[in-house]
Amino acid sequence: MASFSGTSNLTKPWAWLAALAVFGLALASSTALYVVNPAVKMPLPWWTAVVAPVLVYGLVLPLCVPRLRLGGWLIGLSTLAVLHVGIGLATAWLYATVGFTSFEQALVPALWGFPPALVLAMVGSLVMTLPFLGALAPRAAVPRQRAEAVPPRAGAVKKPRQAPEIVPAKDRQAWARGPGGAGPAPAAPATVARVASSVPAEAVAAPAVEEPPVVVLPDEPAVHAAPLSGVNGAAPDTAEADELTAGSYDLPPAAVPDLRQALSELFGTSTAGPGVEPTLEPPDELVADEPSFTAAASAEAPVAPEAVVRIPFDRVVGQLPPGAFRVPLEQVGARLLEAETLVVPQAVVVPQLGEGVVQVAWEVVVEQFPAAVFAVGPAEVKERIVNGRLLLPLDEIVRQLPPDVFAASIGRGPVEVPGIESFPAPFKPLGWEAPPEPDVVEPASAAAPVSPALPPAIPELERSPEPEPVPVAAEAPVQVPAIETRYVALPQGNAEKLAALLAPWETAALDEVQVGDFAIISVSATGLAGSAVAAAAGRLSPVIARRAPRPVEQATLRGVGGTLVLTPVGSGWNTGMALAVGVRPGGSLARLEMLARRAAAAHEPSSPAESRQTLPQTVPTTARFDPAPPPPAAAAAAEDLEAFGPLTAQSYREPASGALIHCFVPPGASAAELAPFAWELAQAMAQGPQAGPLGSFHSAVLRSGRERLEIRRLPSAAGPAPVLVVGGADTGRPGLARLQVERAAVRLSAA
Amino acid sequence: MAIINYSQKVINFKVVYYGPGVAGKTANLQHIHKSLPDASKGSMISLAAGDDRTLFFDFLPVSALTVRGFTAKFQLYTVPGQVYYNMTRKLVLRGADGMVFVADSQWDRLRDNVESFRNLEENLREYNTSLDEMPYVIQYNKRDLENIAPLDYMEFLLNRRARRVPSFEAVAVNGDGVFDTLNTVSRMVLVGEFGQEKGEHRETA
Repeated sequence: MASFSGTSNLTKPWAWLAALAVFGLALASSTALYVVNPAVKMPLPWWTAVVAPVLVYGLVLPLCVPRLRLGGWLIGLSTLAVLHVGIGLATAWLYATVGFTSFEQALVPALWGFPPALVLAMVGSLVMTLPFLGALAPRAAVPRQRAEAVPPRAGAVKKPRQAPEIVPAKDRQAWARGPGGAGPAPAAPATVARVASSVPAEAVAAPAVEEPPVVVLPDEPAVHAAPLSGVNGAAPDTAEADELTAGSYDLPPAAVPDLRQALSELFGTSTAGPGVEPTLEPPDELVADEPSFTAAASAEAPVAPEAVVRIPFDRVVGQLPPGAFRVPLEQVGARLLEAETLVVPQAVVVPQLGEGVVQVAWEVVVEQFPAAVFAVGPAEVKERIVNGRLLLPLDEIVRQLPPDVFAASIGRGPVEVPGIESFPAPFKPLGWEAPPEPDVVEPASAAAPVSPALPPAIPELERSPEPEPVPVAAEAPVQVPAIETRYVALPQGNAEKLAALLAPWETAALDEVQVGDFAIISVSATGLAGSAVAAAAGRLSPVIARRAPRPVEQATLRGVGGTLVLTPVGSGWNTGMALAVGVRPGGSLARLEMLARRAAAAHEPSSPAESRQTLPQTVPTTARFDPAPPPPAAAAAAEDLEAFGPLTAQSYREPASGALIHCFVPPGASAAELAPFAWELAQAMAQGPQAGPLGSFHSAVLRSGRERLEIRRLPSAAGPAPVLVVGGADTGRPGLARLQVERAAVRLSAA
Repeated sequence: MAIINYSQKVINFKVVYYGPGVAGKTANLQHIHKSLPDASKGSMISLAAGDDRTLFFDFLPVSALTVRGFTAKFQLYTVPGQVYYNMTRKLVLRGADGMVFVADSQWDRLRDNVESFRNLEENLREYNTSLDEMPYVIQYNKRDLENIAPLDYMEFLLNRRARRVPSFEAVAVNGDGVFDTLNTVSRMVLVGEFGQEKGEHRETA
C-alpha cells in the first residue's frame, strides 16, 4: 500500500482550499440538518463532547499515519481538537443565527446535544487534516550517503524492496528522476542490508542499489510488481530454490488497510489529481517484506569481490552533465584512472542483472576521475546526473560476465513437457512441409572434383607436455594468395534466377561479376555497393574454397560496416560460382542465410557457357605451425564453449609473425590443419580497405553440415593479432554459440 | 478454463499472447492468420490505436484438431502491452488456458520484459492462479536484430522459475518461430486438458 509519509502538502494551495471546502461543507451540512429537524436530540452528558472526539481522533491517527510516534500523535490530536472546537463554535454561531437564539443556547446542540453536529464536526476535522497528516510521519534519519557507507552486519538478512512499479517506456528517464524531478530519495537502511545479505563486505562498501521511485499513472492504479524468481508460488524443487524461499522471500502478509487512503478516495481528496504528487515510496516495513528478483539474482550468482566489469567510457559519457568538467567531455575519458574505461565492481552489477537494467551510483566511479577535470565539485556533478546514477550498457556487462552468473538458469538442461508427444502439432500453415532431416555432410562425390584435392584426413598431432616444433613441410610463411580482381560482366541469367529465389528477401542490387577465378553473384542491400560485396567475396572465396579442411556450405562474415553471407552455388565451390549477399548490421540475418542456402542450392547452371567456369584448384595446406602451450585462460574458455560440445584447447604459433592461433576442437581431433587455414582466412578478413563499405571482417562463421567453425580475430595491443578458432557441433543455438565465443575471446584477450 | 459445447462437440481453449508493448504479439497473430488455411481460421479482430498499437485486444479463432470426438478450437488473444492498459489485460487474461509470453530481445527493452512478466504474475494472482498452474511458453522475438541480448541472459531474466518452460527464438514479422510457439503452447494446453494419455485425435487442419 502506498505510504503517505512525507506528503504533508503544507505548502500546497490545493490542500488548504480542500480543507476550507470541507470546513464549509461540514458547517453547511450540520446547519441544514439542524434546520430540517432540530428535534433530534440525544440525552448525552456534556463530557461526551470531550471524550468521544478524543477517542476517535486518538484511534484514527495511528491508522492514518504509519509509524506514528508519540510526539506526532499528540500534535495531531491537539490539531484535531482545535479544529473540532472551531467547527463546534462556528456551528453554534450558525445555529444561533438560523434559530434566532443566543449563542450560549446554541452551544449545547452544536457540541453534544444534536448528534449529527457532533459526528459532522469529527468527520470534518479528520478530512480537513487529511492532506497534512504526512507531516506527522517520522523522517528518514539516515541520509543516503551515510547509509551506503554503513558496513553490513554479518549475516544480516533483510527482505528487499520490490522492484519499481511499471512505468511507460517513454518515461524511462522519468522514474530515474523521481517525482517532481527531485534528486535521489534517501535510501532506507533496508537497502544496505539487502546488498549485505548477498555480496561480500568489500562489495557492499560500494553504494547500494537504490530502486527508482514509484510513479503512479493517473489513468489507472499502478500495477504492483510481482517477483519473478522461481519461488513465486512455486514449490521449490531444488536446494537452490529452497534456499531462495527460506525466510526472506516469502510474500508479504496483507498490509493493514490504509484508512487515510480510503477516506481520501471516499471524499475525493486523494493524491490522484492534476498537480498532485504521485505516490511516493512505500513504508519501510512493507518494503522490507516484499520479495526481490534482484536479490534472487545475487543469490544465484556469487561474485568475487575483486571482480570488475569495464565499461567503455563513450557508452556513458552522454549521461554526464556538460559544463561540469574543465575539459570537453570527449577528453575526459582519456584522463580516467584507466583510460577510456569505467571500472565497476561486479558486486554492484550482478544484483541488478535480474532487472534488465543496471545502474551505478556516481560515488562508485567518481574516484576514477582525476580531480583536475572537475569544473565543479563532484557532489555537484552528482546532483546534475539523473538520479545520481549512471545507466550502464547491459551488453557490455553481460559480455564480460562469466557464464556461471547465469548458470542457475541455463544449466538445468533442456525443458521437457511430459505428455506433449501425445498430441501432434495442431497447426500447420499453408505450404507446410515436414521438417527436413538435418543436413548431413555428404562426402565428396564423384561429381565434385574439388574433393580429391582436399586433405583426406586430418592427421593426428601428438602433443607432448613440452611441445616441440613440428617440422614444417613448407617453410615459407603463409601469405594471403594474391587475388587478381577483374570485373567481367557476365550475362544476367544467373542473377535473375537467383533474384527470383531470393524474392522473399528484398534485395536492393543484383550483379554478377568475375572476380579472379570466381564468378560472384552479389546481392547487396541498400547502402552497400555491389562492387564492394563482390570484391570481398572474391577475396575470401578462394581461401574458403581451397584451404578449408572440410567443404564449407556457407560462411557468414561480420564486419564493422556490414555482414557478408557467402554461399557456393550449385553443388559446391567447384562450380566456381558463389552467391554473396551483403547487408548492413541489423538485417534479418537468420532468414537471409536460409534463403541464400536455398537459392544457391536450387540453382544449377543452365547453359554450357555457365558451367565452363574455371574451377578453383584446391591447394593442400602444407604449412605447419609450431605448437604452443595454450594460455592459462584456455581451460576456462573451453568450458565456456559448451554450445559446441566438449572441446579441448590447442595453440599454434605462426612461424613468420609469431602470432598465436588458439584452436578449440573436439577431444581427440587435431587442429594442425585448421590453424593455417584460420590464419589465412583471418588475414583475408583483415584486408579492410579493399572491402570498401563493408570494412574489415572481425569474425567468420563457417558451416559444414552439422559442424560449426567460428574464426575470430582477437584484439592485440601490440604485435600480431591472435586468432581464435572454435570448431564443434552445431547445436542449433547460434545465438548462444556466438555469445560463448565472445566470452572466450574476452578471456583470451585478457590473458 | 476450457469451454465445452457438448451438443456441438466443440471444446474451446483460450490462449493469450502477453508481453510488453511493441514486442510482436500482434505480429504473431497476423502471421498465424495469414498462414493458416481458410477452413481452420476465423476472422481476426484487431482493435488498434492510430499508431497500430493494440488498443484493446486482438482475437483470432482457429480450429486445430479433433480429440476424443471433440473439435478443439483455440481462441488466440493478445493484450495491449502498454502499461496503462492493465485493466484490459486483466480482462483478457480471465479464463485463459494457455499463455505465450512474447519478449522483445533488444537490450533496451529488457526491463520492459521483466516488468511485463511481473505484471502477468500479478494479474494472474488476482484470478487466484499463477504461472505454475498455467501452460505457457516464452518467445524471444526480434532475434534478427543486431542489438539483441543473448539467449542465456534472456532465459536468466524470464525463464528461471522453479518450473522452466519451453522457449523459442522468433522473428514474428517473418513468421520464424511463430508456429513452433503456437503448436507447443497448444499441445501443452491439450495435455493439461486431456492428460498425458494419448487420446484418439484426428487432425483436421
